[in-house]
Amino acid sequence: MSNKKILPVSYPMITSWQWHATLFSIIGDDEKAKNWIFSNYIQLRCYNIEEIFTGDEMLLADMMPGSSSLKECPYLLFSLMTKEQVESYCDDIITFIIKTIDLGGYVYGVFDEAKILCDSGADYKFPHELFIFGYDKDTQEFHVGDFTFGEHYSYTTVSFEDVKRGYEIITASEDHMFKDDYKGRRGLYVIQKNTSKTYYELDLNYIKDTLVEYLEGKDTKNHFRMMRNRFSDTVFGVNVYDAVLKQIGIQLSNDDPDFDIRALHLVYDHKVLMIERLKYLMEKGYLEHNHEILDDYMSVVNNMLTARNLLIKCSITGNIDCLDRFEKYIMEAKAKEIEVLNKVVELL
Amino acid sequence: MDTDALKSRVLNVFSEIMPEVDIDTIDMAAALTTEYGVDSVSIIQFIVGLEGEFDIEFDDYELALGLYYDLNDILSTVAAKVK
Repeated sequence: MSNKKILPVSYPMITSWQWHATLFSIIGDDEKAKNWIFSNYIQLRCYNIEEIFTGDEMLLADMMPGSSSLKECPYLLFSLMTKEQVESYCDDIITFIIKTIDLGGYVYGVFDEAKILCDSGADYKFPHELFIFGYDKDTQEFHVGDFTFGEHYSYTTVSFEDVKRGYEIITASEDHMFKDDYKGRRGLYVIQKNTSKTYYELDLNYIKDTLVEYLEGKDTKNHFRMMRNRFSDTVFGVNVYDAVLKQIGIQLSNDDPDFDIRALHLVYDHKVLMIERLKYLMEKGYLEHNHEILDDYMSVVNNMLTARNLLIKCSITGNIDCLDRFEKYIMEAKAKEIEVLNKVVELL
Repeated sequence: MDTDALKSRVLNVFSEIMPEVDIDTIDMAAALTTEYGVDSVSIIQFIVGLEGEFDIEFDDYELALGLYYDLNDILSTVAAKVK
């Protein structure tokens, strides 16, 4: 057995949340998986929650399917391993991860990335999902993907021992990945590619229906009641633009302004994926090639990119006197997107 | 301002943002992202630094990393604004 194994990954098209970055790292480039990817990730939703680490209120925005995508995607084989299973199969987490990678399995789980992975002097915990896709026994390192190690999503290496400590220190109540699934347990996901056959055809009717729901801002939480029925007040579809704009206003007007870009970045990623969907539909002949649609939609992408970048600039300069510019970029994007996607729905 | 002086001041700002880059051996035509690790945040830090250094202003849409392949692109953008 080789001392080194790195499973294939490609830098993800969208990165907003770790679950999206992980899924797109594994199958984002796979032609068969694109049938599923472009049939999904259309509906947007957002709601206010208490930030897991700071306790501050934050606007959590996501595309559907959200964090459950790793379990639901037909182009992934998903196994849920409790801590007890991991310990039963292997004496320690390092051996378990190496054996899993040897069998072609990616590992995804909650680790303490504060004092263990990033800053050994930290006196707090930062439980966060870590995506592990390779190992090197010579250097005693795992290859991982995460947001924590730079200012954006990146692939890097973390030592075996740091991963072990980061895993062992997290309690069941801090394992928000398992807690979200009501398990009240501690554990890991093992994920394998499942792309040898076509398991999901591009679903044009579903795309059209979901686009309509998105454009109407329709409350679609009833679609997901079979999985969970704890719902907060949720905003859907194009109304997410207004919720994000409102949230930026709140963030910037705080005595201590908050420059959290996550919701804005998620909406930008949604546009990136939408234009790739439109190109894909045209390339595959589901939609007649139309430069005007692509050019118009590109202006939506650019407006959201500009809004996101402006918030980053505000965080650097401290100049917060620009809410009117956010309103311009976000509302122009909303109006243009409604116009273009209504045209697309008519053409589909 | 002559081009050499402009280039020198642009590189000084760049070195403040990316201290790990050796300015003496810098390649003005090398890709900012893959060669020097510039990302969507550090390009904005760089631009904010340039705005302060030259008392110029970048439009909001000019904050996009994709507009600048290399340092020559940055240099020409700054040169146009300084004029």
